[in-house]
Amino acid sequence: MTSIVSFRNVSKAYPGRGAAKGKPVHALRDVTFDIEKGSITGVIGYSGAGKSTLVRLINALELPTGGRLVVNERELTGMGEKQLRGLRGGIGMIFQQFNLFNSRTVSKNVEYPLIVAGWPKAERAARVAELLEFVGIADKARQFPSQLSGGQKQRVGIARALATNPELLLADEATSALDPETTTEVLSLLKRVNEEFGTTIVVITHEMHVVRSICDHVAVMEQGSLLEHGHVYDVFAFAQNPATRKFISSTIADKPSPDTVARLQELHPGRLVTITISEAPGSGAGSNQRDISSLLASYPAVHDSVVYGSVTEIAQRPFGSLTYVLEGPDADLDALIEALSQLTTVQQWPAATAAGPDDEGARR
Amino acid sequence: MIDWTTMGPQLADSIQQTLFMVIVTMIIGGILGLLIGILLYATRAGNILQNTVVFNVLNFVINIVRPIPFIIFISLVGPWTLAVIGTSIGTEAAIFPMTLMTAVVLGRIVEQNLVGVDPGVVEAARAMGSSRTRVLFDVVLRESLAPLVLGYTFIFIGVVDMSAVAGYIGGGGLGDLAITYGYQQFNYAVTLLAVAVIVVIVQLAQLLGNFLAKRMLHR
Repeated sequence: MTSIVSFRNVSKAYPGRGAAKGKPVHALRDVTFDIEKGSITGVIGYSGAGKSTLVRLINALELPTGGRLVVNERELTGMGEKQLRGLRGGIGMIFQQFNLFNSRTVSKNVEYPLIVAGWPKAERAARVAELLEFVGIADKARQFPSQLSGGQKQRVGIARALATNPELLLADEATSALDPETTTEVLSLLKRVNEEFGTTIVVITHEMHVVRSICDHVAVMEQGSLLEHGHVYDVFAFAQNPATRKFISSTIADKPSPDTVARLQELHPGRLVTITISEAPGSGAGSNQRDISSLLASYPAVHDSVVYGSVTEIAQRPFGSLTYVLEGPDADLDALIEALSQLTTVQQWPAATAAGPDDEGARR
Repeated sequence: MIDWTTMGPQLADSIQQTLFMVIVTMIIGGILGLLIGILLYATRAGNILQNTVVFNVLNFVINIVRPIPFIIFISLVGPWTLAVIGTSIGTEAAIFPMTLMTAVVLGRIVEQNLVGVDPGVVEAARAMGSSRTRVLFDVVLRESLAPLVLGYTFIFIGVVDMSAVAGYIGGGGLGDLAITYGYQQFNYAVTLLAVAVIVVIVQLAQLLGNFLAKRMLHR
């Protein structure tokens, strides 16, 4: 694996303002990770998690206050403004609010980075035509941004960001201002950019479905720290961190909420367990569902029924969870749950905790 | 009433003097105002020429000068007018204080329009590797062209107003005509005439300004 960006213990602090004067604000703390060349890496986190700071460090709009940052095999720290400008020219960026030049036509918007990069006029015209064709808005070349829809504006943004053939494209919440249908179109365009040009894409987002649909790698951030990072499937399927789990449940509603658990327990006597469905370990294909079914079948005294859950694909691999109600002799139930725990993650819903304190008396 | 045999040429002279004062002021004061505005913008904290001292001094001078009533400002800068123009009375002498006041007021208007440019667009240009100077001219000034034109149109009306006061130091013009023949000789018709001509000039300027701004706005 070759990395195009590597963070080594990178920190970024801003001087405090107003009431917090003198107290630095830590936007990033001790971040270490690599962005693999040719990958689509998602950086996910809630607002204020430090995602935007992270991209602004990559294209050197801001400089780290600690640690080492290497972009395109060049160490950023210690570079002069002129060198940094050259580096920025080789990195494309698209934005949530598109940030197009309203006073320039679509083709002039796309041409601008080429002018900055010093391309001769004739080559510029050909390149602009080619780019507009690629993003599918060749017919809008002479229009102004205000005449375009959000999706068209972002296509212009993408064409403009790709103008100088950058190896790295940064997308800062690029679909957050778009409706679901347009989001899908723009995401598939980004995927196409990655596949056809081999452009490494860093997708900053707070939406898990964006990560799920195009990213192969993901980094989860919270309060300036990197919580976990790795292949999307691994991070999703084996999430340890509560924040990561929260993101997962925001896109796949597979785990019952406490309210649902309480309702289920009222409706179904027996033991309630949530079993994680994931790729069977080591096999590389198929889910562990087959093993789970066989195991359940080997306990004929236990009656099982699925009462909640969802199984879907992440990065083309199975993922989700199923909540079962298990009824039968206690000894069998204990043994079964123990055996299931060997196979996958099993969450038992304790009979007492889901109900409120008011129910305490009724149960006695 | 109006005796056109004498008033006709008088009116023509006055219109000419007013236009002369206004146009020269708009050109010189306009350029100076643009420079002051750009300097204010550039010396702001976080911008290309970031300089707290220059910014604060300029800011202070503008805040002091702007509220001075123009008729008092004329006599305040009288010694400078004499030094620069060679006389402190007449049409040319009126242009000097008019230009200074216009530059100061415009400086503020230009600065506000530049500051109003979407920071996201500035960031986009910087992310492409554009230098800060380049961003200022290619992006900030260009993106604020339409509001700048409207700002200049707004100032034009203020300059016409100043030109009327210039009659006080022998600047002539339509204001002087209205005061000398209309007010002092109790000829209300002349006052009305001067007002009518001023209204026409201002309306024409406003129409032109709106037209240009609309062409640049692309909304």
